[in-house]
Amino acid sequence: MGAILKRELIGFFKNPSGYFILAIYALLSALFFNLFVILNSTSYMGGYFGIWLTLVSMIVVSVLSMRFFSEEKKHKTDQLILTSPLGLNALVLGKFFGGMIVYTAATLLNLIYVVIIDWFGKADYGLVCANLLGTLLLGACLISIALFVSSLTESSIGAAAGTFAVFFLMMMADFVAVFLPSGIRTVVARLNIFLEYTNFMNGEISLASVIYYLSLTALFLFLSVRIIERRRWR
Amino acid sequence: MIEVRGLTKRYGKKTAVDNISFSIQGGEIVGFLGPNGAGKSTTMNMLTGYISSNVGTISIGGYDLLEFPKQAKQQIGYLPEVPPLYMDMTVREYLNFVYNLKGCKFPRQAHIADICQVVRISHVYHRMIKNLSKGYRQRVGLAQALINNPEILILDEPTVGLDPKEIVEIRNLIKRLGETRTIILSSHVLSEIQAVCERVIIINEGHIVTDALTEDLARSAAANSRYAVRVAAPEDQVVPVFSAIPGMLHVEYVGCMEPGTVDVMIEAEKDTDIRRALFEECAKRGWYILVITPVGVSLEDIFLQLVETPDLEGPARLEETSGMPEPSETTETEEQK
Repeated sequence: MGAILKRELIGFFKNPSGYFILAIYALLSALFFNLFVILNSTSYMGGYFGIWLTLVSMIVVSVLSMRFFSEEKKHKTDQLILTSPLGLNALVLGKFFGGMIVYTAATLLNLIYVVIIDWFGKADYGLVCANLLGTLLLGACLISIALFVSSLTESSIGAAAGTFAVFFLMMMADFVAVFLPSGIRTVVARLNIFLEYTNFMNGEISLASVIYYLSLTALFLFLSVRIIERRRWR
Repeated sequence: MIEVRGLTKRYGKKTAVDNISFSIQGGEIVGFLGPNGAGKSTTMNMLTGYISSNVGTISIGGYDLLEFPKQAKQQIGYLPEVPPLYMDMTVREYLNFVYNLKGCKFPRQAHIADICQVVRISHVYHRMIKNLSKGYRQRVGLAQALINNPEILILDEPTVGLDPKEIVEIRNLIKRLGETRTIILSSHVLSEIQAVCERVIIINEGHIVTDALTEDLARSAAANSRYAVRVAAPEDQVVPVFSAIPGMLHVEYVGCMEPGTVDVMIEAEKDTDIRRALFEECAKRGWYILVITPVGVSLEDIFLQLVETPDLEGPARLEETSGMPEPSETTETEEQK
């Protein structure tokens, strides 16, 4: 796994792509921070994290997905990896943690805003910590979904567009659920992974939400492994 | 070393590889020969575990590829048709990455330095792969395959797209590597197989057409002596008269290239010097032999006979090949995969 992780980081940070992703994140988060925190003259960052930053995460992870598997397939480097003694689990985990490191680096940019708030007023550290944790957990979930979508397609653009489409559909899940029979309504509504974030937004760290995000992450990582395995049989 | 039994691969309705079996002993250099699209790359991809077969088993050094993929893959170094390189890495970073990927246990610096020396890339060690020429990229690809010192090397069209000097160098390198390893080399270039391999497996449309020693194949091809003859003689008499000469196997009318002469292709039994009898026969009738050229049968002819399909007729057929011609190297790639 270490080899793949290292390769991912070289791929991200020796190319413009890693910096490009960080730049998009910085730009969008600064914009939303200005619009919804500074201009509102508030020190409450829950709304910024819970609503606007999740949107930024969706966009950034979609861009991130372009690099996962489609790029390898395009340059035929998947032949090297899949014929090496390395197992598929290690491959997928290496990719996942590579994505997580870039995402975490981006998330840490938010600390600048906390410093700004603290400079002019009083930042709620508890709320900020809960939100940072929530952002990372949501990110892990989003990245695992992106990996899954990326394993399905050979085109980078397809991976990005597909990933964003899946995020968007998940966001709509609880709206759609209203029209469904009561039996499956709850299940479908729970597919909206952004809804689960509400607890973190209010500064609460609920064990149920942590488990929800971690188990979804594990599920999509597992599905990615299965998809890659299955492709070899076709 | 390698045991393949009843291997079949279907892509949708198309059967790319159909029930092939062969085994390769340790230390052999085996050529995998076939026209583009014959199923060479598909077979190699299955051997290396990149894709799975629909039916059949592959065992590498006693380990079944499906049951013990890790142990089996550890014994293989694979250079695919397109070298699997990361353009954004330097040669040093790339080889270190492959070293980690394969979980290599040899002393890192020494092992990588040795390989770089063998494939002669030490002087580009710190350069970005994207800035290297095709020949050097191919060498880096080969270096990658050599990491972890695998006992089996599988090389898919290793000289495609290289210039003639590079081709010779890579071939010599493969021969050197073959002294201590088992090598499977695929190619659609016959001279390459003849120059490098001891044994050749010819594959066409997913089937194995021939599996023989290169030497035997060439010998069986050269078993009969063939000559192209131009003789000044009446057109209608040449074929019957020549056919009657003892030891003559076959006389084929080719045409009339010069006025008053006839061109024929003759084939005589092995160990019979047909030229003397031919001369006497012609002298007796007052015919003049203007040209008599020995025509060697090359691996090329055998190959074409074996894989011949209607669209290979015509210009693709090499009629007169004295000795081994150097076929033009093409950069076509297989449509498979």
